[in-house]
Amino acid sequence: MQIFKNKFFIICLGIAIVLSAVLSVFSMMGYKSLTRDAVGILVTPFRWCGRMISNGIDGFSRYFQSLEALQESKESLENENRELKDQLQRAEILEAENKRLRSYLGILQEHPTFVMEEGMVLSQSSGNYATGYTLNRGTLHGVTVNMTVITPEGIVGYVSEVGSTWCRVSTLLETAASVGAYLPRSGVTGIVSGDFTMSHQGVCKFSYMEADADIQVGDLVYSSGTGSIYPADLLIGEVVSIDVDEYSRSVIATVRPAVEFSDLQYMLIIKGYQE
Amino acid sequence: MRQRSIAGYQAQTRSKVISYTVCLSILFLLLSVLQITVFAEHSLFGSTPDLILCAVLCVGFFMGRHAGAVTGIGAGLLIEALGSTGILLLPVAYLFLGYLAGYYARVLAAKQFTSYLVFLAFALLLRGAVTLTYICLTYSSFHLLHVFVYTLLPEAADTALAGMILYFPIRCLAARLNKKR
Repeated sequence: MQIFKNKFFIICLGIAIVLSAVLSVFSMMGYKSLTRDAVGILVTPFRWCGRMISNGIDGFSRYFQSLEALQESKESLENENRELKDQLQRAEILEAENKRLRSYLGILQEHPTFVMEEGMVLSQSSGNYATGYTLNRGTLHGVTVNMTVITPEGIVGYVSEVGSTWCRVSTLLETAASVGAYLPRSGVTGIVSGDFTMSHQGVCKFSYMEADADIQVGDLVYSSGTGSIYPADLLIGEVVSIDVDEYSRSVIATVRPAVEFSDLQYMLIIKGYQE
Repeated sequence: MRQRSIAGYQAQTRSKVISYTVCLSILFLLLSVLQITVFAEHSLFGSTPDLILCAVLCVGFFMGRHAGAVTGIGAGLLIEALGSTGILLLPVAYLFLGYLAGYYARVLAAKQFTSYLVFLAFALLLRGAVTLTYICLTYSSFHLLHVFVYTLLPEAADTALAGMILYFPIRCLAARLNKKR
C-alpha cells in the first residue's frame, strides 16, 4: 500500500472525499440545483449537439428500418399481386372455356346427333401455299380422314391426314376442298370450293349455279349435305360479291367463311352424325 | 542565469498544464455529453457505456498518475453533476482508477494495449461495484441475478468496447501533448 502513502494522492483523495461528501449532503438537503445548473448551462450547447447527433442516428436507423419495412411490404404486395394475376388468368381461362363449352352446347342443341371431339390447334401450316392446321387428336381418339371440322361459328374444313395423336385439317380455302352448299333464303344450290388466288384474301368461291340464280350479297351460305364429308345445315359463310361467267353462263359468287381462320385455338371434329 | 532557467521551466510547466487542462476539459466535456445523449440511447449491448471511466483510465495510463487522479476527480464531479442520483461516489472511484492506472503503467506493466486491457478489466469490476452500490442506495429490493444480467454485464460489455476504441485516440492525444513539452 506504498502507493497510497503518496502525499499528492492523499491530498487528492481528501479533496475528492470532501467535495463528494459536501455535494452529497447538499444534494440530499435539496441544494443540488446550484451546481447542476452551473454545469447544465455550461454543457447545454454540447447537449444540444449530442441530441442532434442522437436524432441523426435515430433518423438514420429509422430510415433503414422504414426501408426494410417498405421492402417487406413491397415483397408481400408483389406476391399478392402475382397471386391475383394468377387467379385472374385462371379465371380468364375458365371463362373462355365456359364460353366455348356453351357454344358447343349450342351446336349440340341444333344438331343433337353430332358426335364431336374437341381438338386443340397445335400448329398451323408451315408453308404459305396452304391453309391448314394440326390438331392434337388422332386415331387414338377415334379421328379418321374426311371427318368434318367445325367451330361454333361454322365449317373450318375436313381432316385430310391423321396420325395416332394428331390430325391435319385442310380448310375451306384450300383448292382441294369443296362443299355442297345452298342459300336458305332462295334455295339456290352450288359448290363452295377453294381457289388459290382467293385464298390469299381469305375467301372462297361459290360456283355451279344457274345464270339466273337468285343470289344477293349478304346471303348466308350453308352446307347442303351432298357428298360424303360435310353434314347438312352448317354455316359456311356469307356472299360478299357476285360475278357472272359469260362463257359458261353461270354465276360465281365470292364467299367469306364465317370462321375467322387467323384466330383459331380449338376446333370440333365431327366423328359421327345421322342425317 | 539559474533564476532565468527556473523561470523558463516554470513557464514551460505552466503552459503544459494549461494545454493539458484545456484539451482534457474539452475531451471530457465531449465524452460526458456523448455519454448522456448519444450513447444513452444507442448502445450495442443495451446499456450506456462509461466513456468517462475509459478516458480517465487512458489519461492515467498515458499521462501519469497525477494527471489521472486530478482528471478522475474532475470527470467524476462532471458526470455526477450531469446526472447524479444524490450521493457522489464517482469522483472518489475515478480518482482511485486514474491514479492506479498511472501507477500501473509506470511501475507494474508496460504501456501496451494488452496491459491496458488487464487494467480495464479491473476498472470494470470497480465500476460494477459502484453501480451496485448506487442500485443498493436507490432501490429497496432487487434481484442480484437480474441486476447482474440486465445491468452490470451489459454495462461492462459496452464500457469494455468503448475503452478499447478510446484507447487509440487518447494515446495519440497524449503523445501530441507530451511532444509539446
